[in-house]
Amino acid sequence: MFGKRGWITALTTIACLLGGIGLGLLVGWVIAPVEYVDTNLAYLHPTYKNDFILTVSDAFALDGDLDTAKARLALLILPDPAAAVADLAQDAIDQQKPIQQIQALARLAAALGIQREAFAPYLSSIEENSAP
Amino acid sequence: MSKKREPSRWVLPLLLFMATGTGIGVGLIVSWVVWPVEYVDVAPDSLMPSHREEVLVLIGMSYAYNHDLGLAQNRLAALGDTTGSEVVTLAEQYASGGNDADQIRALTALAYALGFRRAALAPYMPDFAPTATWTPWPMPSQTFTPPPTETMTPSPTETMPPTPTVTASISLTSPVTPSTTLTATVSPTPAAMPTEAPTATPIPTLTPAPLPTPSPTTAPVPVPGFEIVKQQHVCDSPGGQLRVTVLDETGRPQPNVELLIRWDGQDEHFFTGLKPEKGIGYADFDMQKDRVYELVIVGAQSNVAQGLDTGGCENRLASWDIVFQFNRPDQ
Repeated sequence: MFGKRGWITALTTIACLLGGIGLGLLVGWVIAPVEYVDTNLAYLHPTYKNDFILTVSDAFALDGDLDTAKARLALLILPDPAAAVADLAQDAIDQQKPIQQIQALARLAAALGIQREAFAPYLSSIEENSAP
Repeated sequence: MSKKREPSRWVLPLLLFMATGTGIGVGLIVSWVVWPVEYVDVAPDSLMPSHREEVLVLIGMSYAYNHDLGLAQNRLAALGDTTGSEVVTLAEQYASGGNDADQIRALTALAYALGFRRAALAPYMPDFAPTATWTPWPMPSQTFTPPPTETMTPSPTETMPPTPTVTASISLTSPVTPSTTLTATVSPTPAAMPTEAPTATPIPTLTPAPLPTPSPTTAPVPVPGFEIVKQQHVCDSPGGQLRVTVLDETGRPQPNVELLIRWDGQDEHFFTGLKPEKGIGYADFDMQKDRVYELVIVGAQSNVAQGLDTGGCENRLASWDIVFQFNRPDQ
């Protein structure tokens, strides 16, 4: 069907096509990949997500606005925001973080409906401090 | 005999070029559209504006709760804001937009801690709120005499509890390098003489406190504010320059501090940090001949640098080097 020259032409064409695809992938994936400049809080690295939860708990400790705290946590699109807060509080207790930080996290976790025995001392100290 | 048509010599190169181009196009479509690179563990500096704003507010509120400036600065750095300018911009935006007062106060507190001073934010920062009436800047024609410091010593037959009254006055701290400190002096006023058995009660000498807030009923209390730590007259080239540096209490230069300069009933505002090559806490102003300037920081308690003119140098205009440093007296 094809002569020798025809086969060479066809193979060369296919090689150029494949080479072009490879070059395009190289450019698109390595040299100039798509850059996300307007990313979402949900795509944050876990370290930054935890820090975000920390700031939400500090803000809640400051103003007591639970609805706003819930709305902010919802931005992270976590499977269980309350559990995430409680786990962070537990980690803070285990790592002996500053009491103020633990209190803020424990208070938010409690407000979200999670009560743990480990939080009790930190919640009771808040009540003592706020008692007239 | 039919003549076999020879293919053009350009067909093959053209074919190869089109195949390569098509391949590149397919590759780009796959890598940019079909299967683009997905970033799943991003840093906060790539957040969309609305989420970025939310994070800024939370950083401010977290600072208001724990007063950990280092932590706040680290969080701002993660956002890509190494100077805190976004904080003060957002605070001003919220203040003008009538947003939640708690958020404005939190952002303002962080902005002030980072060294930013804005008149628009002063109402949200009680420590730095201007007095009810600004002490008017003295005009060059006025003569200032320091008020006498009075010491009341009771006679053996009377007790004289002081009823302090406060008068604002200007005292020249140095005749050579004139700079003034706005002070309030407390002059004890003798009360009515008692009729009961007298008790001699020594009354301490009342001395003016640094940067007090005048009040007719309370003794002056030292408040945080900017003091002039250097006011130097120099004869250098090109001359006629007012060079200002603003430092925080630890000596770090502070950008975006608003300065007000006045002369002959006119005034102008300028900011530090607009010439970062000379320092982020640096600002300068070109002075004109035969004018006497006064300089103060806006939006905070501040010394007033006075008597800044271009005279005193041979064959050129004089310049001034002024350094303001924030001071937080122990209370």
